[in-house]
Amino acid sequence: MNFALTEEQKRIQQMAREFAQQDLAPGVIERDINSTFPLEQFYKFGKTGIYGLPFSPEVGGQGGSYLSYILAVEEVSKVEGSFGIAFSVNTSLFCGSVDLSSASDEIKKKYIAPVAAGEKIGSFGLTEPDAGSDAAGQKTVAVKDGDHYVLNGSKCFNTNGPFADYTVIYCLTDPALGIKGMAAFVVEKGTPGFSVGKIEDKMGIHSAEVSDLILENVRVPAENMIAKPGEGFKLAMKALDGGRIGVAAQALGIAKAAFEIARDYMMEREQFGKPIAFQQYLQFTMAQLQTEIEAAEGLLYKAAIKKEMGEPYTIPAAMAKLYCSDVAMKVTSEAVQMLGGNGYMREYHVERMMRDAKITQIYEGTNEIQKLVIAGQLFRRK
Amino acid sequence: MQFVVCIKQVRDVAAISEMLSHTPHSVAIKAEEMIDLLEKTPGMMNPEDKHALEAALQLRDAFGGEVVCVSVGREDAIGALKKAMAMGADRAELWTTQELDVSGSADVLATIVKERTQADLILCAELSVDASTHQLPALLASRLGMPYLNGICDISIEDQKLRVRRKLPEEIALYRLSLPAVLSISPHANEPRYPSVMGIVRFSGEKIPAQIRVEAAPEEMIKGKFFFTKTQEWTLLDNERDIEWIACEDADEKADQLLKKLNRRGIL
Repeated sequence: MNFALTEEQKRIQQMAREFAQQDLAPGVIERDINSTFPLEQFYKFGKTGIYGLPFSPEVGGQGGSYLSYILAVEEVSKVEGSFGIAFSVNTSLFCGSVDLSSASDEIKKKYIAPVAAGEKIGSFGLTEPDAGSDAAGQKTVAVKDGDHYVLNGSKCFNTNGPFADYTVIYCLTDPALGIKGMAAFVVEKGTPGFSVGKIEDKMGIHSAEVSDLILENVRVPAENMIAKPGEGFKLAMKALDGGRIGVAAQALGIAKAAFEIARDYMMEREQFGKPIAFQQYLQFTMAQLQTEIEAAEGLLYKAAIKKEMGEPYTIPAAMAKLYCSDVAMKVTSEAVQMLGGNGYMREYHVERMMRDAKITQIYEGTNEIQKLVIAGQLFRRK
Repeated sequence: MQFVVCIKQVRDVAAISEMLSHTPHSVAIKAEEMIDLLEKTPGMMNPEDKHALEAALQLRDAFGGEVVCVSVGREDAIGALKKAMAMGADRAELWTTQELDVSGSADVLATIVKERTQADLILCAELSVDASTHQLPALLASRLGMPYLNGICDISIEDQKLRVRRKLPEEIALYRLSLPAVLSISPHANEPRYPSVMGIVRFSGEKIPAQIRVEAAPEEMIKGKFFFTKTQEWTLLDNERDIEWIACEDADEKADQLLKKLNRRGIL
């Protein structure tokens, strides 16, 4: 067993770190205050080809390591958690849905290549107001009409929704069958009847744009159906397995960044005549947090490697998402505490990280759902 | 046209200061200790070189031709050259040598340029972040008998002649000069591109990619080569500075904000 990163993984990590420092760090607080997405930076990063990193060149990807991609999500999330989720949704959920689907290579290339080249942005539409953890409560429907399908309904909490060029919409072709009648379509921005609804005002990840998407008699060519009726739910779950590794990477990046800020602060901040870092009770907390971050990293990288090796990764992904997000919540909360009054102030970053960390316990399957997934294989009836 | 870019592998400066963070600032570090420290430090492309490479890539894209990177140093300089390839260079030449000072490096680079390239234009950084001598481009030009200008912020080529803009403290000067020539590029000239992911994936997969030719510098070139200059010891300077810009029109409000900032940092 070898824990060393490969040359490719180190180089991608380094490149993402440089990008985060040079292009994302400036203005990160202002974007949080104003809830504005760094769209220009998102396109700039995309020009490197990073969003198509783990996909094969046949569909327009770069044929890189899955762990390289995960390291990149982690690096950008250290500076701006909102950017991390936009990246993960673009790559894991949009491109991931298309890549894992039964669509032809032609359709896969048509939709993955422009996203991989950083020219187009993807989004993922599964959740509905009455269908969150229980995806069976779906109401969005698709009805066949000649060589098209007509889609009606709405999706909520779509990250990248307001500006996405392509969205995978999961919907029912036969509501009587429930999720057994679920299909999936790629819907392009500008298709008549397809519009952006309410843009959410959130607790954290302010600079990520999350919105409702509304479908009113949206005519989609039948060839855009990437999952046939009955295959949609399975595809959504497969894409989410990948997405959860992305969310775990986002969470780990946030945790590591908050930890570093707290550590540096503790070396500088003097109280009672010495840096607070030399108070043993604070050292113990930091030692505990560092250990948990290392453990989270181990789970995350293992899940990424499992996916990369083509081994089953549903359980490792659920464990990584569950643990990394819990660690992120704990570390960021402790980091705010370590910085005392300053920790509560925007300019020290950790309060934003704490707000950003919270969502990682909720989206792409709440942590309760992750436990259901893990427990499901633990006590499977024979 | 052939655009040649000088690339240097340097030690990661941030990693060195991280390693030295426990060292009191007034204590000098002896040459032997520093060499030991440098051995443990990962290498990287001299950050200033990225501006020279970016200028070359833009010229190639505008006028056609190829970008050839040349480097002298240890074999691990392949790392910096792989990055250059991932940024878009076409090929690279590395001649490995023992540690040389700037004069020795200029000798070897001049020989690489003469023997392995048909350079129309040679682009360098203004300095390398490790040695910071600022001398290499000038020495290289003198070895090659070519014209040289520094501080270049804009380059165009018309009728096989160069038109360049040079940034001076108070003004920008426009020059014309003949090709071939050596230019060192101002860090304000451009914003270097990031390496492409496709390039990283491709060049990381091979120990020495076919596009990078590595050979040992001829023994007679470096044999008995003495250092004109050799560093004896280093002392870290404690020059932590932080600049904050208070952007507002009203002087009273400006003063208030300044007080707040000083207070927050515990200065007042």
